[in-house]
Amino acid sequence: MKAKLFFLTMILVLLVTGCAGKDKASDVDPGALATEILEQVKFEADLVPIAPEAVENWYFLSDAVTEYTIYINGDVVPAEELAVLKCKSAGDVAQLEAILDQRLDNLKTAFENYQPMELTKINNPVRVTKDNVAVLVLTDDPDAQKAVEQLLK
Amino acid sequence: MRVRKKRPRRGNAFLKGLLVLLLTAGVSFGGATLWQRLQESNSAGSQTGTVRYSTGPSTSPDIPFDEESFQPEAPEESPAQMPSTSSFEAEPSALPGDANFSSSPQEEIPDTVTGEFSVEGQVAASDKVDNSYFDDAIFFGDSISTGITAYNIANNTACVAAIGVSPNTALSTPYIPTREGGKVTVLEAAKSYGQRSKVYIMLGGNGLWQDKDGFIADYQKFLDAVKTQYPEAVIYIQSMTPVARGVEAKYPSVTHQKVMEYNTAIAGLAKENKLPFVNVFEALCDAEGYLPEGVSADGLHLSAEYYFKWFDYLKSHTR
Repeated sequence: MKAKLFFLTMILVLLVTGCAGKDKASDVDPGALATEILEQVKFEADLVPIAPEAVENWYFLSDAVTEYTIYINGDVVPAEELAVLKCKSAGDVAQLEAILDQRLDNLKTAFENYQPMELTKINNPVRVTKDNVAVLVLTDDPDAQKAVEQLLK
Repeated sequence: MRVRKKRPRRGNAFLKGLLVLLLTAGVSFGGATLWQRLQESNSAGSQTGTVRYSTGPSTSPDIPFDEESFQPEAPEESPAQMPSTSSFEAEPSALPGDANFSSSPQEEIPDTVTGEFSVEGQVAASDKVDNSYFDDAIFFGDSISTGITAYNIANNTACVAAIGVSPNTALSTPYIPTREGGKVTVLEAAKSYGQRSKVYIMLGGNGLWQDKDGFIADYQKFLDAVKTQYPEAVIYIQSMTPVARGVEAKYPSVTHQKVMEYNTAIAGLAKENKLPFVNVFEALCDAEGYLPEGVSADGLHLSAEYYFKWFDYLKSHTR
């Protein structure tokens, strides 16, 4: 009887904590985080924010995205970029990752026959995910990964 | 007897412990959910349950920013709708390149050298139109034209452009990514915008490795396809933009001389087709026909300021 109750308790606790983890959500403000990243990471270009009505030219956002801030280089070269995507809960973050993957694939195709030198940063992106936030940074700054991880801690 | 009495007590204690544990877990989980729901309902009022677009100011020092009207962070009470290109109502003053921004006073635009690099038959200066002129226009181009959208130069117009588009590939190579993960040609992608009254084409920078005859023949094919797709439109053929001194270090096939030479050929193509040729080149070059120093990071692509010069020129050279 005791063993059964203990087993049942463990299952319930695991279920409860499991659900809570899936719903884990950070209160990160994408705009504020992007501003901090722009301050702490070195970018060669003067990145500009994408207007919402034009975002589909660069990123195919899904309904899972609740907030976002995206900066690109309007001058095209260097292929520097910054995207902070946020969804409702950690359970949806895979969808954010897929959006960023698609963007990177498109960039690779665009630059491989244009400015192949730019592929170095496209193939080595800074990718940091925490709870319901996913960040992509394209830069040559070797300290960028660490800086973004620190900001998302 | 004692043993019998003790056993239920131990069982009771265990059950009580279990109850406490479950209650604690339930409260913390339920509380977290409630907290999240409160946060959601708080934000729902301002976000209408959709995407909230937030942005900081442009990092470009060249952009003549409207500091008074620009809001560094999108306020909670000014939500953006889902990023549908047609339904989103942007804060008109919160973005660089919006209607207010782009209608910067003429006197702020540095003098150009119009005249020195004029081409016979180019569209002459006309009364300046406003941004609404581009409501029913569509722009086709390469990476240079992507800046029209990136810098939000005319958010009322359509622009189908991509890195690498060239006269010899514009018809055949699928450059434009689709939501489904595929790619389509620029003309295929343009179909989503429907018919337009004005078509602006700027191509060439990626085709300068070709011999001039082949380049023009390919340009003609693309032009024919555009004419077919937009039978009622005025088709403006734009010159290529000037390049900076030393651009060939980064783009070996691109030189100042070639741009000049091929622009003359493009002007001839426009004339043959009885189409207006808009010589944007003359609005953007210095006294020697180059893109001025400091305007471009790579000698080819333009900074935001020069997109506004380009569009000011288009507005004052219409037919």
